[in-house]
Amino acid sequence: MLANFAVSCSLLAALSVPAFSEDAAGHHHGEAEHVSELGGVRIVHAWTRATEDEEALVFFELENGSDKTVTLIGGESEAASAVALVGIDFKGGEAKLVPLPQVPVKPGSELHLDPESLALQLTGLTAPLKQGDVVEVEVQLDLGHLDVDVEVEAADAKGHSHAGHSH
Amino acid sequence: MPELLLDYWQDLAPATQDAVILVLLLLPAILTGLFVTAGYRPLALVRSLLWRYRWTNLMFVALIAVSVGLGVGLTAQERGLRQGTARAAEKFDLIVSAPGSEITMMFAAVYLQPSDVPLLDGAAYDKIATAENVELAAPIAFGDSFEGSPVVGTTPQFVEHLTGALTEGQMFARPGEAIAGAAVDLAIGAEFTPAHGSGEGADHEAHAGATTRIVGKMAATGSPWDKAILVPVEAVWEVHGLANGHAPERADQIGPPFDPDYFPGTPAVLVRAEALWANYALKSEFTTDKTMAFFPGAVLSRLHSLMGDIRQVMSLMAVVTQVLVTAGVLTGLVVLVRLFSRRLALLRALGAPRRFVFAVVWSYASVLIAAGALLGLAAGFAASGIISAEISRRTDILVEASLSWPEFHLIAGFVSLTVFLALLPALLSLNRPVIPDLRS
Repeated sequence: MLANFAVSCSLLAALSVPAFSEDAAGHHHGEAEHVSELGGVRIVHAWTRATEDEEALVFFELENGSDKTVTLIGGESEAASAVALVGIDFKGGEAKLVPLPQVPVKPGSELHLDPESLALQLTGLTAPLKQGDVVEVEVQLDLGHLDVDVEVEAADAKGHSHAGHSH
Repeated sequence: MPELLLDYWQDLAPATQDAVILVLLLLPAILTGLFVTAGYRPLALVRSLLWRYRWTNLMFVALIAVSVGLGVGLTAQERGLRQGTARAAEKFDLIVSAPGSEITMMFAAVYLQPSDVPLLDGAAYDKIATAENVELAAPIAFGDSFEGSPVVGTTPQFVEHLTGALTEGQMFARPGEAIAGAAVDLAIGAEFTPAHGSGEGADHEAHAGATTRIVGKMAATGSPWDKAILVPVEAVWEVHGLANGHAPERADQIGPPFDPDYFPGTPAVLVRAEALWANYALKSEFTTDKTMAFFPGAVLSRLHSLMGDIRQVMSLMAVVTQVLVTAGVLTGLVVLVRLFSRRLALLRALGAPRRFVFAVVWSYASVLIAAGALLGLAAGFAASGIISAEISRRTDILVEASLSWPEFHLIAGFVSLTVFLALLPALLSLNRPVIPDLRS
């Protein structure tokens, strides 16, 4: 009887402790999901750079495996006051962020958000981003919202640490 | 409080931030000067010292100028090259080609460096030209040349996109007509026969009979296209014995639309979209196993960031050189102070306060440093101008090196550090015994 009670208690304890810790700023410190999927559309390898600033750029690969054009519009996050789609324009030799209304992705195509082309810009970050953190961002597509775990890489990172892996 | 200051700092215009940094960097030099010379007027004596030992002084100034010029020239040159290459690529929004190396294709299509690359076929071109939001899809067919000038086949729309209105003459309207870049040494009406290939391996007989006449001149672009001769892409195909891109019933047409069945192929297509966002959509659409799409600006930025790493190493070397020269100059000053130790001893014997002698020696050293730094600024500017002109001549990319804030900051930091260190020879001069120096 006592043994059964002990087992029940430990099971209950195990269930009540989350697999990762999460704070109010929408960050958590644990295993991130590398793939998010909605109606045949996948977002993989979402990442950003560690920063003390109030702004950060989020990059990922969007794979449109559906049979219709999907439009990337922007996003939302508890970790930032605003999330907007921006283009990184290199005219004149200097990188300049240009707000974009949307980017459509044809069926079977991939859209790469990377430091040389496109990003989701988080502004008004509620807390500094530290390497190893995971930020939750809700990516807004015309067909709905997709929850994405954005991994915080080093401040000078040039890509996701899993880039090149297939999921 | 620091956050408030940081916010205030971030709200300032970049030029104001740079000006503030410059003042802050110069501040130690100004404060040292005010402190050392307070209550005295050492300049008359400094002037006579400068004149008395003018050749030695000139050598010190020249040494400082060379080390400062090296640092200034390096940063100005690197920036000029970065801006020049970026400006030359500005008109090339998106390039679509057969899969391969983005860098090779960028050098070939944007900077017209000869390269053997696979071709995109008519179906691929048609898909690009008819894609949503495409404003311009111009084939860029390179491979031929005339006396060092690449002969590039394209469309009238591309010429307009590249340079706007022609400075002279008119647009090509048929095969056998060409538009010359601003730096091509061919006048309107001049005739030439393109060679197959470029450089020493070019076959000058391959296109015998394909005489082409210059009918217009493009405005200068500051890019290798200034040295190019642009012809209708139909002419390039025809001289190679291929179909001319149009069905037989429209064989006389120049420019789009092209018929995919009669389209022999093109190494690259310049794509321009109606809106910026559409460029990203098109890049995504044409990144397939049969086509490669890239932004030349982004590829260039990757190269620039590599250059930036090299620049950091070179800047560090320049700073090390400056420090070494400064150490040498300061050691030299200590020796120089010995040279005029008798005069200083005489001053002391006449009743000049020790601090006045200190002010004279420090001011003397500071004038040499400031003169060397200013001369170095001019020398660096002149040197980078000469090197820029040579790079422009060799690459046809307009490189303009100009002085900007980083150079002024570098010099301000150098002056502040060295005039502070110049307190050392001034201090040493005070420790010299007056009587033996008077007798020496």
